[in-house]
Amino acid sequence: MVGSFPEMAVKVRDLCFNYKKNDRGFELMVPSFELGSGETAAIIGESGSGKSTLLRIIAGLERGYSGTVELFGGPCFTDGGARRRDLSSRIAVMFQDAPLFRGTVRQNVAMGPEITGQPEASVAERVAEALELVGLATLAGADVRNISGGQARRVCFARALAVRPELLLLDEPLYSVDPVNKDDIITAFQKYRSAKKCASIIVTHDRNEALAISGRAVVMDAGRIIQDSSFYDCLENPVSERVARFVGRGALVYGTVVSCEDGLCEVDCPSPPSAANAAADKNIRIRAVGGFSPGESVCLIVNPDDVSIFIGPFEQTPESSALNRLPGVVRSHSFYEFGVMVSVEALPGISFPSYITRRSFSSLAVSPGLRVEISFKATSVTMLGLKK
Amino acid sequence: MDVLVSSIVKCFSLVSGLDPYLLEVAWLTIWLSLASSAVSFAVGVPLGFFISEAEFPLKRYVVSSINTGMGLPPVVVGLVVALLMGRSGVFGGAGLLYTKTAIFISQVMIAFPLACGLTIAACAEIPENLKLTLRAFGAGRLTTVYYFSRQLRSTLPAILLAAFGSVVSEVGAVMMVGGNILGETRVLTTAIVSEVRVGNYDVALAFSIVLLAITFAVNHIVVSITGRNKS
Repeated sequence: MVGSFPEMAVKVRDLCFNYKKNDRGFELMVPSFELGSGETAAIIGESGSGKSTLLRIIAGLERGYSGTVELFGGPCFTDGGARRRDLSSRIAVMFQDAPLFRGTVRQNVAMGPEITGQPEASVAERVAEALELVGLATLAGADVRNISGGQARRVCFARALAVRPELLLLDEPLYSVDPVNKDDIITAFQKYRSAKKCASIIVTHDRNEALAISGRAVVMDAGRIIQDSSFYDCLENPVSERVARFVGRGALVYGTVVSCEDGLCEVDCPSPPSAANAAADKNIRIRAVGGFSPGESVCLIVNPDDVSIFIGPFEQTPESSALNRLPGVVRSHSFYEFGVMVSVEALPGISFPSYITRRSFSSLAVSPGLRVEISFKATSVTMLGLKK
Repeated sequence: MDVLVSSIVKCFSLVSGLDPYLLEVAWLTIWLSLASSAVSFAVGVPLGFFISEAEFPLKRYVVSSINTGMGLPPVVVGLVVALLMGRSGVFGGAGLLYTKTAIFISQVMIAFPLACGLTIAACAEIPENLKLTLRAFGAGRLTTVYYFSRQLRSTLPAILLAAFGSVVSEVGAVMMVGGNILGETRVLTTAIVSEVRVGNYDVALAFSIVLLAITFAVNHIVVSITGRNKS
């Protein structure tokens, strides 16, 4: 602690790390990244974007980088090059694919406290507490070979919690975990976080997982942090098409600006060449607001929350301020906790997801193949310029 | 067929009659093989753990050398040990040639790379994230060896048995450095060769059956113990 400012859990400056993976060379460049005590951040990005490598660097498990990585106000390594001893008991890492050692659940969970030199009574207490948190107290004596994959994940998570870390680093903790075990892990995480006020970083390539755990999104692409802001910001104001593609769940439509007056642009969006049966002369016009010039290539992002669905007869659809009205066909739908995501295809290869309530879903009798009309406001469309 | 039947009969008569020649040769075979394989295991396995985890210059060459050692012809080992311990050798003054110690040394040289190399190979199969988990908890070398041993507890007995199997059946090096001296350095394999040379095929086959029985017994004991631990 310095003065009245809370200690920074993680502080990365001018990090540059070159590494090889599967015989391919990668470069990780992070000019700045900070995580306050008690704060949670989700590092998201596609496979190979450098998320796990950054996590391992923060955990003090990688060396050979330039720049500085500080944990709790000090460097990860001593002057002699060894990893700082106190880090073992202050941070815990949970790696993906649930690696467990042979033995019982209890033995696996006890690993951390045992290795960090906790007294026997404390080890037992921590193990019991961690297993209770993840809801596996009854399986303490079970052989890890006899538990399910989801339970193995929970054991791994309990193993990390048993250290009682101040900084929790989770690498794809919910990857391929069934919904029940996923909920248990998220609940345990939230309980621990609120009880211990620990800082945490979760690495994931699943936007929904990240949203469930963290309000801050750190989007990585090709070894760089391309956006570090709240999830809301990433959804509403993505800095690039990559961020929108990864964080957003809305439609990404590509086109060329044909006209732009008073900030209202009209964009010509053809069917993507890859789309089956795409006719060359088929396209849609979308109106959006932005400062672009005719001829510029743009990416349009339309969030599902902004898309309304109308069912026929369309001639009677009332006039509204929504400048975009497109005919389409319902292709699929999927149920979420509070609503239904309906995918409406306007052109081959161009679909607009629309997030509607379950009540609307029932009253409109939405089903695949239904011809509908969708509408959204020009002001709700995010326009991003594409580099030529 | 007659030779086979007569050798089985001979084997039973030698074993049931507690033939001193058989007992002496068999006993020497057992303890020399157990001692050399145990020492190879005790040194080779921890060294294998260390090599697999440590990063040092020329590591690749060290691993390649150990792997080459796994396939080293025992006769070559015997020749090297004989040259080193012969009168004009570096250790000639110690007078170890044609002694049990020389056999022990050559057997260790045969079994050690096997134990070490197999351990390195087994460690390579431990998931990388499991190793990282240990490092994240700040595990030192000894702790790492402990957890690795636990993880490889069904592989380690197999390594021990491979080491034992490589020395108990060895004949070339033992013959060369031990000299096959009756009452001193004669073991079952060299005894079999001697008996064949003088045409005692039934005795040679009887010794072979005893050798097989010893190998089977040791394997069975180790497998039973590890099986009990597993359950």
